[in-house]
Amino acid sequence: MKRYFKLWRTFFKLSWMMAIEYKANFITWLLVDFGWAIMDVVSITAIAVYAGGLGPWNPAQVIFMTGLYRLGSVIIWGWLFQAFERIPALITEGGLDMILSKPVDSQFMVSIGRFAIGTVTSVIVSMIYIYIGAVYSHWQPSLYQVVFGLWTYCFSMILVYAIYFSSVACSLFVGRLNNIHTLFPNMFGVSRFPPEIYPLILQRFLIWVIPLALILVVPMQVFYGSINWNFVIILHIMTLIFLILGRWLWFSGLRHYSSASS
Amino acid sequence: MKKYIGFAKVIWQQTLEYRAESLVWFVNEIVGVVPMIFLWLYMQGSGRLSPDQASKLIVYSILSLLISRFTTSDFEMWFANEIKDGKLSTRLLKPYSIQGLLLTHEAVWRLSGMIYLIPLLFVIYATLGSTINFADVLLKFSLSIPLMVIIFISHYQVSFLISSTAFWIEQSSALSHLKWMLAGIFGGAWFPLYFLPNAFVNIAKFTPFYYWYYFPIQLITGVLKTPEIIQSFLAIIVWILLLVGINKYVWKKGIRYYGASGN
Repeated sequence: MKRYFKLWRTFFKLSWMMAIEYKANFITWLLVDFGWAIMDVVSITAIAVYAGGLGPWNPAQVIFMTGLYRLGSVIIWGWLFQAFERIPALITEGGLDMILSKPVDSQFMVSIGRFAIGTVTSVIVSMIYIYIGAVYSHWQPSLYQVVFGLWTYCFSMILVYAIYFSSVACSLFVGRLNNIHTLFPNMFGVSRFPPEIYPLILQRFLIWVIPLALILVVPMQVFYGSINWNFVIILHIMTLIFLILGRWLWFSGLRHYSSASS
Repeated sequence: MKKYIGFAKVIWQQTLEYRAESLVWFVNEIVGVVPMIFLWLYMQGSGRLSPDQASKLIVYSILSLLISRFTTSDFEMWFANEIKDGKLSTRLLKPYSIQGLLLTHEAVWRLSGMIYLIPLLFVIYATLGSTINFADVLLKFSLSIPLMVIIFISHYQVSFLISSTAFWIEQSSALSHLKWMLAGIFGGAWFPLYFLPNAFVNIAKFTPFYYWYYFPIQLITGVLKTPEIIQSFLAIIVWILLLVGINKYVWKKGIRYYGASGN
């Protein structure tokens, strides 16, 4: 376990050194990330204000939720996307050999890579959104709400990793699927909307099949004290299922891998 | 012309060969629109929007998806990489116009995308047929195909300009993000611009992005008056001519600067 933490830290350090080395790139991506953070809140707030809320959430709660969403985006764009975008190329060009031959778990190795340090802007902006949302929604949580909310949010982020990894692992079974890593980041936008807005069949799909509807809704419900225990339990179960599914897909997919062009 | 038809045939075969990839691009496009449609329906159901408001917003979302399918041009990432990696050299030596190839590539991709759109249209009709006059929306959209071609050219020119910056700028893909952001916020790709203050809409009119989504949707839904339509058409043409001119200049300068690094 210690070795994995050390590796993770080394990769992070390397990314930091690269960011400092190529300052112009770093600043450019800081600005791009800041731009997206602003666009996110402008678009969703404009919709929420026009429609008098977003499902059961009022505009202030929508800003709070956007803060949580942006933090999730940091994990997706700052970490997972950077790692997973290499996977299709590693598979089709045979580069996976180098990873498989290392004395480290291959799922771990493909799950870390270069970190986009430029997404640090989103961390700051997210905190600001959460603060603004909390103030305007007169949020007065108990300690239990905060701790349990953070717990469910952490689980949601593990679920994000598990779904994203499972989707990318599918590329081991297909001849060429070089854009599969773009699918989940786009689908993540669906998690901004509460499940109530969908018809029953789609609700069930977004809870039981691809549980996107739970990712932000469960922490939001916990933070605001309107806990739906069924959702909380489903979130934990689905996280475990997707973690197992991703690992199973990865290792059974590796049996199909024929080290192309090596 | 013959060689571009040849290119078109090969690209068409590629789009059919890599169906899974095309499907992923398609899902990426619809996944943003679907929640919006259901949100409007939910808001109507909960009495926060009138049936008329909801129906207009649903039509807006559907038209935004159709326009995006027909007109988007996103080749700048891979083409910028070709410039940065020096792969452009092999293309420069060949007897065809690079602009012609890119235009053919994008047009064929757009056409092949229709394959996935047709089943979706049936789903939309089955789901929303009672809420909106879907046949009317489709008919009006079909009549605006020439406008879609013009918008596609405008998209293409902006994408070409962004990729051309790769001659000088290492991170030209950042500009691609900027394009998506501006198309979303000034173009009304994510939501109608009337959600925003009037002053903002007036500023948006001075950008080419305004004419990518908001203007065509307003035109198709019959909101605009004749002088506004003429003014907007003129604005698109001016923007295209301006972009063509800038692109010619930038490309010429870029080719002189080009060092074919990596080769």
